[in-house]
Amino acid sequence: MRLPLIAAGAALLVHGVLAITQLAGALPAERRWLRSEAVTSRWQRELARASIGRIRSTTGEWRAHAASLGAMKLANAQWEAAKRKVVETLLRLEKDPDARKDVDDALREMERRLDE
Amino acid sequence: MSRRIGVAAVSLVSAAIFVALLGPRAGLTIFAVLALHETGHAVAAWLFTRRAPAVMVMPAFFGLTIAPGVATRPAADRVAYNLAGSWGSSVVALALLPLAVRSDWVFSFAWALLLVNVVNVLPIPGTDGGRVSWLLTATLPWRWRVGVTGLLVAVGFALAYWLRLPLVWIAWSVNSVVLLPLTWMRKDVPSALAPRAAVAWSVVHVVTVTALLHALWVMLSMGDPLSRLQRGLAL
Repeated sequence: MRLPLIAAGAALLVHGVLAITQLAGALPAERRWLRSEAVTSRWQRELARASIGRIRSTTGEWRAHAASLGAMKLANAQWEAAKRKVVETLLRLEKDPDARKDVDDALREMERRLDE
Repeated sequence: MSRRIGVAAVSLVSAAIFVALLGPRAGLTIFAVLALHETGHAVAAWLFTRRAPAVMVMPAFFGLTIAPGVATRPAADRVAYNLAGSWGSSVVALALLPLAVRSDWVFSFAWALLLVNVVNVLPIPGTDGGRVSWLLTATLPWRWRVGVTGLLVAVGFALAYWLRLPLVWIAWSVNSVVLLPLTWMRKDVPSALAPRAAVAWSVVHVVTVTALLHALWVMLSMGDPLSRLQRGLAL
């Protein structure tokens, strides 16, 4: 019986140490992750941010980026509008290499919306 | 000796496949996560049997520990052996948490360790958690097994509703209603655990899952987790 008591004690100790460290502010505790309605929007924001990072770090495959971003459904109307603008500029960029600046502007605008 | 060479060769081939499919950083990170998990099992196997186990990472993104003598150990030892893979990885992941705040790669490694191990320790057939729940319930009367299944279904539904993730809901329903009782129909029923020991190990199983989830929540709180994963694993 000693081993399960030690194991359960160790796991509870982990909970305690994590909780105390979070309460002390040394480790983050984003409460929104614990609220149901916020999980989806937070996750959408993370996905959208990751897409922005991917688009910025590549120099081609604009149609694929536009398709994957277009398939992403964002619940927030302003995020969705900013996303559509990015998709539109990406499709334009495929035909016209000079549209890169428009893409950058649209990405910055989308990032600003996501940060609000 | 030839078996050890074979085990090392399979693991090396797996590492090469992971690198080819995911790139060097992500491939070797996943390899290390799987190898570390299996090392936890191997340490437990050696402590219980004093016989040298072998750890192998397979090309299909899972690991194996060949541990002679474990299958004939008492049920309690087998429960501990199955949980040990996640315990070992959790210790490493928790030790890395303070560094994960600063480094994207450490963040990605610790995140992958926690995610792989929390999924592995859930009561899903084929995983360590599935084997643990089977070892803990296989000798219970049928009514109790139905009761435990009902409880798991209820917990899964509550969690899926809370997270508003229908896929979790569907996956959990299929797992709980269909697959878990199927696992119980296996013929190799282990020696019964004493009721107090079964309760104690069930508590250990539950708090192992909740401690891993708590650590995952801490990591999710660290800001931009997907972007950090992308940078950390060079995806």
